[in-house]
Order: sequence, then structure tokens, then C-alpha cells
Amino acid sequence: MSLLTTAKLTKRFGGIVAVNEVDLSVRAGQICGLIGPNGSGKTTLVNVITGIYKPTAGTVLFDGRAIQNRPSHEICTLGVGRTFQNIRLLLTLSVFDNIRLGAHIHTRSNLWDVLFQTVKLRREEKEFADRIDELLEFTGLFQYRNELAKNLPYGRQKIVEIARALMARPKLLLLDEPAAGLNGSEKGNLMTLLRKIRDSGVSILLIEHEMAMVEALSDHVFVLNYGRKISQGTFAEIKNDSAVVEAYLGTGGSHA
Amino acid sequence: MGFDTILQILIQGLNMGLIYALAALGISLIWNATGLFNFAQGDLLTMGGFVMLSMFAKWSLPYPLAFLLTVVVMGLVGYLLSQGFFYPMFSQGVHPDIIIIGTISLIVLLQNGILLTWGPHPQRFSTPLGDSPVHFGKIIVMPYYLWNIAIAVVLVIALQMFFKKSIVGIAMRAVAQRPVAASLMGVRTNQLVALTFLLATGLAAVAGILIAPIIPLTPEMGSIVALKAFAAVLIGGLGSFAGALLGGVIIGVAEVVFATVVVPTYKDVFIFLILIAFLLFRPRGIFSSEISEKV
Amino acid sequence: MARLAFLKRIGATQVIFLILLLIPLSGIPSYQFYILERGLQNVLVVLSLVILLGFTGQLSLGQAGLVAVGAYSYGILCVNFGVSPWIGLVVAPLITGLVSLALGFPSFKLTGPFLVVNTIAFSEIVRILILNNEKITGGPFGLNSIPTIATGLPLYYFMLVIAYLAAVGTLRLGRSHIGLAFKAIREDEIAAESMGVHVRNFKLLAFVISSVLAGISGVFFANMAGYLNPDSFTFNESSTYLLMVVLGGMSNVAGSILSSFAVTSLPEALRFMARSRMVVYAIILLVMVRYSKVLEIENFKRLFRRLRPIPTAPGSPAADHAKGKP
Repeated sequence: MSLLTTAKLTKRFGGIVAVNEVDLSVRAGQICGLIGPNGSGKTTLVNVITGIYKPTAGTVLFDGRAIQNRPSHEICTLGVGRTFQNIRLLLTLSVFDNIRLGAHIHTRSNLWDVLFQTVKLRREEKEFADRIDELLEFTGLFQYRNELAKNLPYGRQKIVEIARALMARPKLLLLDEPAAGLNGSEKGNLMTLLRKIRDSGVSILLIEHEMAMVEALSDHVFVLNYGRKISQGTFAEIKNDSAVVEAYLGTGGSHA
Repeated sequence: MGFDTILQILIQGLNMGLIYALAALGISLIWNATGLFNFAQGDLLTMGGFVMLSMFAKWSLPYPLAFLLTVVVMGLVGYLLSQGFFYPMFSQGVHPDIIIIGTISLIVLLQNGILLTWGPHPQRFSTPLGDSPVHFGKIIVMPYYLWNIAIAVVLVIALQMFFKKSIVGIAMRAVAQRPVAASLMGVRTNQLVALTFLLATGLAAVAGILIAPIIPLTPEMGSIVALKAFAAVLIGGLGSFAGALLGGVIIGVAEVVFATVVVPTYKDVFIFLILIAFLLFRPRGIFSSEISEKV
Repeated sequence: MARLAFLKRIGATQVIFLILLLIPLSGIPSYQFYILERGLQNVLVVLSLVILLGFTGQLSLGQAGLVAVGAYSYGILCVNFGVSPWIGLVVAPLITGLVSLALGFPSFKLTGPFLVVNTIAFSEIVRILILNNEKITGGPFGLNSIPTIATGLPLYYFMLVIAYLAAVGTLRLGRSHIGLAFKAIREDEIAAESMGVHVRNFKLLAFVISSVLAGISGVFFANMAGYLNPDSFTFNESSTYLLMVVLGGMSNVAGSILSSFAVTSLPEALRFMARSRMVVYAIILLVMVRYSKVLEIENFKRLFRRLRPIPTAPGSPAADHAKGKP
């Protein structure tokens, strides 16, 4: 059962075709890898899927609904979560607050509740606080609960972003190079975390340069080059695909 | 409406329009060089007018001397502002919104400073050509209109030549296009930015001198003039020399047309609505040359 | 133990209001009382900017226009339509909120200098409209003999209560999920949008809430002065409000209240001193801004995170680039 399907998805910026008729699909319960040399359009593809860009052509189907051309905030409510290549946390706020933002779409209290500190608000905030604490445990961040996000080590900040995305209870999580900048043990922890996430019922589309991680985690891999999908299959299959090898070696063999 | 009336309107509009264009040019120059919006251009214009007032009307210096001195003094002010205030923030990467707040503080400083120095009452001086209307057939024109147009045109031509032909001018354009590359090639960015400010403030001063015969100087007028100059910049296209000129003239003429044909009291509202419309629907202006076409 | 817990809940804001409560009781000269009144009236506008600029990061220089809408709505309702001042007190801020939608709608797309220019233009349009509709607003001659809710000490304490409620409301807003959404917009619109925040609607919400506060401030102004004149609502006032909120720490409620009082001008008779004081405050702010990186002024650093290198015309590819879209 396909959770996310893109069909001939295309994005042009003026004369540049950043994403060129890409077909991919992620099934529920899968971790799919999305790899390709730098500049191959992976992040742009994710940006189109999440509504930051409008596609030039093609469609995106999520959970049975067409989501291309919908605004980002709407796509978030439908169950698509994401993290960013360059961390986009609210650095001046605490880890707790950052994760709390993830629950924005589930918040029922309104301005009246806020101004009068109603029982409804207090109950809701308590529920969210409990869930945030659960997530902090789940991701191993509990010790940073009240720390300002900017004071965290880079690797931990990336995890906070993941926790924030999880707070929204997504069905699909799009991760943009979560392992970049992480050291060895952090990468190991990340892999464990991603498996836990998948096991908890959230599907993952993983953009990564870290091939060992892609190999270990992915059920299926898509390879992009110059905006086009040049290969797909299991990691073993694409590893030996000559088009893939050429794409990487041809650009100077640049991968982590 | 007779031909003469139209011509009269055009002359009036061109006159004010060129003044706006000078201010707009200053804004455009600074934006090109630093990406900063110097909202204080309007108040620098006012200050220029008042400095000229002191030199010409109060201390009775001859007009050309007073004119020159005023421009030099104001240019110096611009240079100091750049070196002491704007450039350090720009090079340190202070967030643009913070710089805007700084610019607003500068406006407060200037407006109150001017008020304290020259008082709150509207003050005026005229050009050496006097205040007697000149008749060209049926057309009645105030002499300072002609004076203003002449000076503005000369200035614009001089500027064009400066930017196209002189080493400094070309260097300034290089900085605007590619600050990093320019500095790598030995261009001293901070000096050029300071020069840009000097030039922009000088232009504002000239505009202030030229506006005084038409609109008496008051300490608060800067904000309105700045708004109209911004409208001019937006209409003509951010970063474009020709755009600033065209935008200024369009605003000047539109203002006069609206005042004459519709109702004078709302002419400013009309201009501001045009400004808002451009902000919303055509922020790139008429010369939608993006960032690529620079001064 | 209970006493300690109670003390914990008293913040700087409560202390300030307590002081404001007590000062007039000791009997003070009338022009100092006037300063307190004016300060209180300004507090409301500054709170509006705390929400709009401090929380949501929208740089607006049009607050004077909104205060004018509130003041004149109240004045016109009471004078021209014979409405009771109490009803005017409630309706005028609502009108201001509605009018601000006209301001907010074009504004939500704009950033930086474009937003500033838009808000200044809006404020000027309001002022000109007021100036030129003499029949309704009294034009340059002003609107006179406005009925008031109260005068003197009773008015002061009434305003004090309202201001306190507004301050508490602002604090609660800041700590809430709505405040969090605002701050997310301030720091990173794209991240906010991706996390489900409907940025446009929340910006509008910020505009409306802040304009209602400004409207209430206008009603207070009308009550204090008894008459209105368009000269009280110019760019000068808008920039003064900005100064107050920045000096007070932008998103800091207590600080902003303090700076409102600090900056509030002396009455007309001492105009010279008022102007010199403004020069001093402007210089302070210039220094703060100029050395904000060096001094690591927390307010400035904490307020804006995403460095937008060059402000560009909205909608252009360069603007997209600056927003971090590759």
C-alpha cells in the first residue's frame, strides 16, 4: 500500500530543471533511501513534496490525496513531517518549546483559552508536556529538556528536529541528511532511532550521503542525478548499477 | 484642458519629479552597494535644505558658494555615517531588520536635532532667479522650476558619466555587482561604500536645496519625502539608475496631475496607494531588471 | 511555604503595576501625574508592538495610525453619534481591529523595509483622511469636547486596570502555543509553515490583536485629552513607539512598560526638554544597534535568527534565494 507516490514530478527554476519527471513511491512501514550526488535535486524534491515549492508539472499523492499545490502547513496536517538539511530550529527557545511547536497542528485551545488560562488549555498543555517528555526519552534527549536549543551540540540539535517532527504524529517522515556532521557513535544512535521510528509506524524517506546507513536501513533506494531518477531498487541492486557508479565517480566521487 | 495647462502641469511635475528622483537615486545607490535601505534619506534631504538656509539666507553667503558648501558638508555627514554607523554593521552582518531600527533611530535623531537647531516653523529661501513668475506666452512658470530642472539634468548627466567613465564610478558598480570579487581584486569596499553614502547624501542635500523654494522646510517633512522617494524607487525598479529617474518623474507628474485634475488634498494618499499597489503587485518595478541591472 | 510560592508568582510586571498603583496616592504634582497617565496610555501601544514586533517579528511603523483610528472612532461615536463612552470604549478597539485587517492583508507578504514602508504609508493615509474630513473629524481644528468615561484619578485607575490586564494577557500570550507560533514566524517562517503554522493567518492575528490594543490606547488618549488633533498621530509618534519597545527589550513586557514611562515626553510647556530627551534616546538606540554584535545584545541576537543578506523585492527569485530556497 503506497503511502507517498510522485508521478512525473518536475520543478523548473527558470531555465534550470532541478527535478525532472521523478517517479518514486514509499510504502507504509518502509524506510526508503534517496541518494545522489550533490546538486542532484534531492532537497528540491523534498521541498516540492512538502509544499515549499509548487511543482512545474507532475503530481504527488499522499495517503490517497493529491497534495501538490497545497500549502506547506496543510501538508503537515495531512501527516507529512520533515527535517531540514540546515537545521531550522528556534535556537533562542528551549528544546521543550521547539518540540512543542510540533504539536501546533494538534492544539485545540484558542486565544480565549490562552487569555483566561482555561481548564481546557491547562489540560491540553499537560497532555502535550507528557508526550514531549515521552519523545525526549524516545530520542535520548531528556537531559536537554529545558536547555536552549542553541546550546546543544550540533548532533543533538538534529535529533531535536526529528523529535519536533515526530511530535506532529506524521505518517511519513522526510529526513534531509540527518547524519551530516555526526560522529561515529552519534550515527549509530541515529540508526537505532530511525529503526525505532519505523517500528512505531512512521514511514521514512531518508536523504543521505552516508552509504553505510542507507545500506543498513533502507528497504528500497532511489537514486537521483541532475534531477532525474537514474536507478531504483534495493541497495545491493543499485550499488552495482553502472549508471549509479558513473553518476558518483563522474562527479569526482563525492560522497561521505 | 488646454495645451498650455498640460505643459504647465508637466513642468511642475517634472520639477518635483526630478527632486524625488535625486532622493530616489540616493536610496538606490545605497541599496545597490549594501543592500541597506537608508530611510533617513528624507531627513538628510531636510537637513541639507536647512544647512543651505543657514548658509545662504542667514549668513548671506553667495548662492553658488552656499550651495557647494552645503553639498560638501552633507557629503561629509554621509561619509561619517557610513564609516561610523552603516558600514560596520553591514560588514559585521547585523540583521537587516536591526539596521532598519537603527535607521529609524537616526531619523528620530535628525528630526529632533533639526527641530532643536532651526525651530519648528516652516522656513523658505529661493534661488537667485527670484520669485517673479516668468511668462512663456500663456504659460506661467516660476523661475525656480526652470532652475531646478536645469540643475537636476546637469547632475544626472554628470552622474551617468561618472559611473560609466571614471575609475571610481566603475569600481562602485563592481562593488555593487560582486562585493566579494571586487574586494579580492583590491577594491577597498569600505571606502567605496563610504563614497556611495557621500554621493547619496550629497544628492539628498541638492534635493533639499531645490525643494525649499517650492515646499517650505519643516523638521518633519523628511518622512513624507522619503516615502515618495521610495515609491519612485519601487516604481522604477530597485537598483536601476534609469528606474529611479523615471520613477521620480512619474511620481512628480502624477502628484501634480492628481492635485489639479482630481482633488489636491488627497494627492499624497493617491501616491501612497500607488506605492502600496506596487509593493503588492509589482515589487520589481517597471524596469524589472531584478538585481542584475545596477547603477 | 505557601507564602514563598505566592511570591514566586509575582514578576517584575506585577511589581511595576503595584508601584503605579501607589504613586498617585501619595499626592503628586499635576504634570507628573500627567506623565503617569501618558505613560500608561503609551504602555498599551508598546504592548501592541511587543506582540507584533517582539513576538512575531513584524516591523511596523504604523501604530500611530492605529491609535488614531481608535481615538477618532471613539471620539466620533461619542460626539457625532451620541454614543455612551462605555460603548465607545468597547466598539472603538473593535473598529481598529477591523481596519487593521486592511493593513494586515497587504502586509503579510512583505518583509523588512517593504513592510516598514507599507505601514508608514498606511499610517499617513489615515492621518490625511482624518485631516481632510472636517465635517466628521474636525480636520485640522480637531475634535473637541469628547465625553469621557472618567477624569483625573478615577480615569487613571481605570486605565491602570486595563493596562494591567493587557500586560498579563500579553505575558500569557507569549508563553502560549500561539506565542510560540508567533515566535516561530519571527525566527523562521519556512520552518513554521512546515510545522503546520498557517503563517498568513497568524500574522493577521498578530496584527489584529496588536491593533485592538492600539485602539484601546487611542480611547485612553481621547479620554485623557478630551479633544483630538491629527498632529498627535504622525510618523514621529510611530517611531517613538518603536524606540520604546526596542529600548525595553522588544519581547520583554516588563522592560517595555518601563521604557514607555522613561520615554514619555513632558508636556508642551517643556517641549525643548522633550526634544532633547528624544535625541538622547535616539543616540542610545543608535549605539545599541551599532554595537549589537559586539555587545551581544541578547534582545537583538535572540530576536532574529535567519540572516537575510540582502533585502530584495518580494516575489523575486533573489528574495526566494535569500529565504533559503536554493
